[in-house]
Amino acid sequence: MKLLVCDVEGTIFEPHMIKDTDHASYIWTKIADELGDAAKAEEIITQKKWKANAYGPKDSGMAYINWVKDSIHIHQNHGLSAERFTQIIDSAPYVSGVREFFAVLNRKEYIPVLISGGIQNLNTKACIDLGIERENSFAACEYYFNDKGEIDWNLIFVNSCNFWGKEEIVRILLRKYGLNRNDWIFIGDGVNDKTIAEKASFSIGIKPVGGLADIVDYSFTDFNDLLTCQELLGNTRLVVKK
Amino acid sequence: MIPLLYKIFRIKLPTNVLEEKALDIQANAESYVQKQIGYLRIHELERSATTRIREKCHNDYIYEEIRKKLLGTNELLQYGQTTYILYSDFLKETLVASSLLQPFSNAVEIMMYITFIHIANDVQLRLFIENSSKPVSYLMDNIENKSLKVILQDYRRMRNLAAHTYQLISIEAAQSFILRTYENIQRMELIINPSEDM
Repeated sequence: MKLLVCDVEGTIFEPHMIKDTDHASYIWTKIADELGDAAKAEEIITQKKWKANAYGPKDSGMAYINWVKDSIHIHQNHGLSAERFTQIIDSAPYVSGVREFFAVLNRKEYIPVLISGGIQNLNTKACIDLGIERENSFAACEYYFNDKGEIDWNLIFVNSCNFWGKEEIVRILLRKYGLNRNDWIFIGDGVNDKTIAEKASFSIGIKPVGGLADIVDYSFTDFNDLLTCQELLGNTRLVVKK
Repeated sequence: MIPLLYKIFRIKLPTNVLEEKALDIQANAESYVQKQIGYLRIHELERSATTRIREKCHNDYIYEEIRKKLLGTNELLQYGQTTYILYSDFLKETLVASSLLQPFSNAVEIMMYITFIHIANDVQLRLFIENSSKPVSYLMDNIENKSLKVILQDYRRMRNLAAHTYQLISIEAAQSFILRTYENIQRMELIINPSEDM
């Protein structure tokens, strides 16, 4: 048995870019975009602060958490409603071939795991659609809304599952399922996946950016492309034929 | 736990069905907790933490006060999980009181004491024994570990939600809280017993 560790935004779901930045994610930027120009401008400021280490050293546990909290406040301050948020989640487009890939995933040999620096609600959509256990889905936070339809801050618990935090979760899961340190495959797309891809004994990039292509063993444009690679599928037994 | 289940189900079900349901809930809870943290050997961690305190603390009263804070992680999780399954799967409630999550918050707190005792140096441990009435989270702040800092901020917020506010929360939010509890306990075990490099 092995873990199939998947990044979410940009890997499972198509990324969303705000113009004038080189930062890509689906959920954070998409929400800011939907909330209007002022929210979008504030989101870009948080990205600049991140790059300038204004949230603390990037390898510390709290830097990413502080960035996420800032981003949540932007959503709160600009009135993200439950209804609009649900629309954004529901309309998130999958990368081509994702559904087909998970439909034939060899689940007797692979436990699918989602680790995202984004919002759990998007992961949950993927868990339901792709047959992934909720307890194997990790994200930076999860949104719940109060009776007025506003984000309920009391129920926001911010997680460190990006950068070094991704690796920590893999360690936990390997131990939980009684697996060895090499019993996992990683699939990712972006610069924040480089560290974890380096640690994986085998890694795959989906339209990789930010230098990830130099690290991964295989790169594909999407999951349809991956499904045509007989060498990969033969070596890993990732999928079963129907 | 079973008497509580009897009390809740008595209105709807005959005694034999009641007993079966109650035992089912309890078995499901035990199996779930086992799946999440069975591999951690929590009882052994509790025992080794107690042993270290016994070695360093020569005042029987203080030792006993600390020892009480180091036991019951597994039991609390099973109690909490049983209650959660009762409300979610059997009573099909969509909203629960946040106080239902108190056993999970307590379990994290016990695990924090256990973790602290395992990783603290002699000076930090002596300070802890001398200030045993202070919350462990206060002393944890002084330990440089990035995972711990994340767990601490989580714990403080979770404790506030479970213990200090009355709030009805969705059953999904409760599940999310519970999963984070297991995750934090798993993280702390990883701090005590770091795995070999990947």
